[in-house]
Amino acid sequence: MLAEIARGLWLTLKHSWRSRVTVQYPDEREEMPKGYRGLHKLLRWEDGLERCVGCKLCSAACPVDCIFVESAENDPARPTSKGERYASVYEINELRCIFCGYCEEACPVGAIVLGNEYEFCQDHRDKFLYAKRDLLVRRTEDYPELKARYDEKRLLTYV
Amino acid sequence: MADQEITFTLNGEAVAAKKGEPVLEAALRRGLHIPHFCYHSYLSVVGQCRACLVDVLDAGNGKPVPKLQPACATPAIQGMVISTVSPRVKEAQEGVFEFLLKNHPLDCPVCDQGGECPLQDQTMAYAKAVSRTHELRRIYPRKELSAYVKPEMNRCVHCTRCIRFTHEIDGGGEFGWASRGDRTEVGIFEDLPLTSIVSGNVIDICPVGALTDNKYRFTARVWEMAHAEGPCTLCSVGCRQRVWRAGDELKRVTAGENPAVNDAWICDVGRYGWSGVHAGERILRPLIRREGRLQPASWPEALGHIARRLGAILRESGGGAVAGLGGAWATNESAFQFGAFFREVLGSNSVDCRVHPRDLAQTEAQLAAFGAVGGQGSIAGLGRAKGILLVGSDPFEEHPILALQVRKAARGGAAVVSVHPRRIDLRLHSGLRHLCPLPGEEARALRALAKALAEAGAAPSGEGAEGYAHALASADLDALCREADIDPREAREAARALRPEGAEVVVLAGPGAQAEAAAEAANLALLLRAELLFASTGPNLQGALDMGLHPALLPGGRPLGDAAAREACQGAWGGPVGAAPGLSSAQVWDALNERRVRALYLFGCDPAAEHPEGARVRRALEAAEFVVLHASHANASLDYAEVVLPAPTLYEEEGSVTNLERRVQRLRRAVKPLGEAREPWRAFAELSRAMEAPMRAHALDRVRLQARLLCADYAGPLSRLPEEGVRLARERRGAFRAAALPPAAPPAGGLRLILAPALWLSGSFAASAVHLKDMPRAALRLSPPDADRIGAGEGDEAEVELGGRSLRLPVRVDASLPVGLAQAPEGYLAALRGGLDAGAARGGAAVKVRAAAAAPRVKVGG
Repeated sequence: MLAEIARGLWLTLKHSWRSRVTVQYPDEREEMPKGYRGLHKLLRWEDGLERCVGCKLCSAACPVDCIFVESAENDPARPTSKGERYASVYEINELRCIFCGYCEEACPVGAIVLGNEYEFCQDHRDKFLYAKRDLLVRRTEDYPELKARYDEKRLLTYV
Repeated sequence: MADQEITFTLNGEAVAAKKGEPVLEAALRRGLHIPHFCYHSYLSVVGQCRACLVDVLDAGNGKPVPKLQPACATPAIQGMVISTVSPRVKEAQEGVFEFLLKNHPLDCPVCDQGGECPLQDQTMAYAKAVSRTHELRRIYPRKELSAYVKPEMNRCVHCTRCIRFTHEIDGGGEFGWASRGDRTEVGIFEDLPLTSIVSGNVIDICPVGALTDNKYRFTARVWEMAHAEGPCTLCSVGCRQRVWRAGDELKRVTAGENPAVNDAWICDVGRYGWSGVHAGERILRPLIRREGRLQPASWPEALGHIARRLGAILRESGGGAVAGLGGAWATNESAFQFGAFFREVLGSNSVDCRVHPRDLAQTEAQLAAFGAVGGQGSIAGLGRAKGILLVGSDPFEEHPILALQVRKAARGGAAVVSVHPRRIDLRLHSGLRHLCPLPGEEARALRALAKALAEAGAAPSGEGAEGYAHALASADLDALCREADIDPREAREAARALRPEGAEVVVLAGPGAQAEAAAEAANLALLLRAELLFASTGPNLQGALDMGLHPALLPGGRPLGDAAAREACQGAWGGPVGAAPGLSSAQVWDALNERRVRALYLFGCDPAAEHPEGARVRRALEAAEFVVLHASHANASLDYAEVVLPAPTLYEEEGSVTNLERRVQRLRRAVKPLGEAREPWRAFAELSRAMEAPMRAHALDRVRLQARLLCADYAGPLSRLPEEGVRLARERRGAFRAAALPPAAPPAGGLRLILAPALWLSGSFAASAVHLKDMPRAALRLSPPDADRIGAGEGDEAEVELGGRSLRLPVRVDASLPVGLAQAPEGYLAALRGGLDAGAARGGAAVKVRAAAAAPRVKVGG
């Protein structure tokens, strides 16, 4: 029995010399690994036009059917996206999402990506229905880590 | 020996084929896919996309063919051995696809064709996985085609399906190509816009996204939608179509294939008419008139109200005081239930589906000649006929798919004779003979044609033949032609053309075949031993009649006087059926005015607007004590209704419908009924319960069971229906009716107006369909001299004055009209409340027309 106590204390002692894994959240925050799948972002091109063309492939790829897209035709004088088509409605139900990343994989223009953000608590279920204004970034350059994500993909370069 | 069955070997599998048919067609039927773009089963073979190249290892004579052959242009021969997987073929396929994709933009995510694109699918299956292209793609200047067809010619792969469709099938020849080689550009001529009523088919046949649907554009993707396949229910042809929905909303309609009816084509009215389902004019809940205004009510309230009012009238005046009209816009099941409700619950035989006098005249003419309505001809027979007689029919405007069938027959060498006041346009460059009688004198022109046929040796035989032969013998061809204002020489030529030895002839009677002309058309069909088709405007008029919506006929077309038939009905329904015939739609109006009929039940019809004698009908509706309107759309008759019940459209209902050739087809629900609309057969059952005389048929199966019992030839179709439907043909035997022709009206001076239906302008459904607003607008058509005379040019407004009412319409100058004749669309004028009533004026109604703009006001006609 004494031997067992000694073995237990030894384990405790051993761990007390190891580096700490506990993070003092929210005072401290860990760097998310590359490829982490958090809250979605809709990206823009460098000139500010939306990347999303409303092709609905993300919603087709989604295994839990949490993406709703409605597309419309661009006004040639004031286009929203490149090409003729854009997403007039883009909604993701973040509560239903399982963060599998299929939407990102399906996207032919690198518009929808899963970002690093994991802090998106709300006090009401309805608020988890993220609309386009919640998802769309102001400038893609503000998210260099996301830019690297779609740069790795082979994107269609038709536009 | 065209139908000789042979077998050949494709990739080691035996394939059965007809001798001489393309290898590709046989392979596709067998389920073996060979890539192709330009080949289409209903278009001519051009063999120019080269995607279907195959290796003929043995051409049936033991020798291989040295070069690869296009499977679409290679006739199947007994004993052929073909490979589509040899390295040579693979290399050729990869090469073809690489060339196609050299210029085809990879904008599939934006393109509406994405997901249902033969180029996309076949590229995935047959092309190399990587692209070697780094050159710039060819770019065409952006152009527009029409409100319905959206071009993106950069995607075009030059298969020429659209060109062949417009030249061969449609006949307008709008599409063509310019330039050569890499710069070949498919498009339309700038001065020949794409206005054809069947233009939408190019969207379906385009194998890439070069021609897409402008109305469907970007509204949904194909994988989000489900579709219901079944007959179109906007006219009586019953083309097979696919109705696509996403959620509870219809998104589009595309053509289905039925070689017996529409091949693979539908008209644009069928393609875009669905927009009427979601129209604002839909009646979504029951309404009851209280304090002069229609106010929303619940179903039990509305049914209770009807039950109380009808119950009181029944107690005071008996069943004869209630009349029902309509049923031509309902399924067979609902029509059957409507008739059963009237005969069993109300004890009234006054139920009639033929609201328009034209339908009445045509069905009565058929009853007189054949003892039954319909079943005397087939649409497929029209397509392969060697002679066609069109009576008062302008098929491109009234039944566009029938026009395509007539054109198909003409391509096969058929002689086509048209008897119509106008020189109708079938886009045939030859082979169409016109006999243009004065309006209202069609019957005389037909009699003249019969006389000419008799002179040429046609002899009537069978019942009534003697009387008819006598009538023909005593007739004077020249006098008949003079009175009808046709050329006797042309009548003789037409008669000769219509009588090819032993060849099939079809008589197609359209809406212009009214009164005596309908009877004469039947006589001519008997004389020519021809098939006979009456093309009505109501989509299910034939089915409604078969289901017994006729004042003197019970379900199955059995006469009311037949005691056994009445007993059978009593056995099925449980209540006795009166033996006295009810009032037909022609008699109801006077009976309403004279208070012999107190209540009127309007089921899916709009006599206030659609009856040509509108003023008389509206007076009768005002005189009616109690009017129920049971319809899907608000229409002009709504003003007279005390209770309004919502009905689903035929896009929202399960059941069966019968087309003009008596083909029963299954109708599948495409979307669930809007608002509180209930299936009419259910509504009648519930109404009977509210009247405390519950009908036995309270479920669709029970309705069908009763219909099967009472309508002998529907027994099969109503239990099991194949996909293409069942045509209930009748024996082609009838009796001649040699009625004396009414005296010829003296040639009238001035301008006469004829009203003719145009499919996209008729009725409240078409009027509410937003996508149909881009069809040619309702216009007053004038011959060029008449237009000059009133000083109005194309597009100017003209004021039309008829019978004390006047209306403004844009002018269309139409050289197909003879001088002195004007034409306006039928439904449209009436749809405008207080519009014109054509009246029953023979020879067209006298009309005053003047230019409404500041142009000189010249008074014409009178």
